[in-house]
Amino acid sequence: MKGATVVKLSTPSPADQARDLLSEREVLTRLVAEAEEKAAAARLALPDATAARDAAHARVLAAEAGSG
Amino acid sequence: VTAAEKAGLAARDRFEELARTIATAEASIAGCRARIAEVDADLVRLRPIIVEGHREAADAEFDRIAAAWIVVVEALAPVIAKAKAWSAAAGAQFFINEPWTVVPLPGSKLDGAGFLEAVKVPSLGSARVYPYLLDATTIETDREAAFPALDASRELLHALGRIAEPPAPKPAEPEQPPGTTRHISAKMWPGGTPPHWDDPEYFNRPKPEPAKEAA
Repeated sequence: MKGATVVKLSTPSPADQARDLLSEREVLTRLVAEAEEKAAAARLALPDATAARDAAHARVLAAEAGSG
Repeated sequence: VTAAEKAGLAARDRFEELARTIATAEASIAGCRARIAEVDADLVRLRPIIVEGHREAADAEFDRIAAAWIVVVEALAPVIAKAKAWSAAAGAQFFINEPWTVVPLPGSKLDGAGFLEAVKVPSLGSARVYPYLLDATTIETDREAAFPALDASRELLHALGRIAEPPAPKPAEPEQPPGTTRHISAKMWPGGTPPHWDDPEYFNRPKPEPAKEAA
């Protein structure tokens, strides 16, 4: 195996692993909070959007009925 | 396309966009929570290993400081003598517990560090050893808390302490029959624990007789 490179991988210590996991946890927690905020805002806007959609649909049906 | 149709399409698009947003956010929340649960399980697994490592590091650090300390204490004898003289001259503001504990007396205007500064204690070895000379009991009773070298490890332990063990799954409760009250606060219930809603012994108990009026 001429020219082969041996790469020695070192295993992170338990403390380093824990620090990495804690950082990841922090990011995940922030992502959950952001997603919850987004979902809450969308849920808040949903009834109006539903009503607007239904009203628009009713108007289209009425127009079609009128023209027919 | 009529104006009404355009408006209808826009309204439908808006509705669908909101629905998509909610679905995407919910999927993201579920994914993140699942990963958080895995992370927490890993942290709980790592905690005892880290606690043990921290203890070993604390012991090693203590040995290192103690070794340096012996040298310092030997070198300190003349300084202590000077400090005693200074303290006596300054109105005995300090009680010096030989050979290394310096305790400011009540009403003293200087703390331990100020005292050492005032008596111009020369270099006492490494800077890390310096504060430990102030109070030997700190090392004896709380050796870990005294070591700045262990700060990072200690912070990690505190952070790990905030990660709770995953709760055990709750056993499924039977369906609540209609007309029963289930949520009775233990605080509101005289004697502590409220009866369970399906506790027949409690709910079928004979009603107490009305209190007789005092004659």
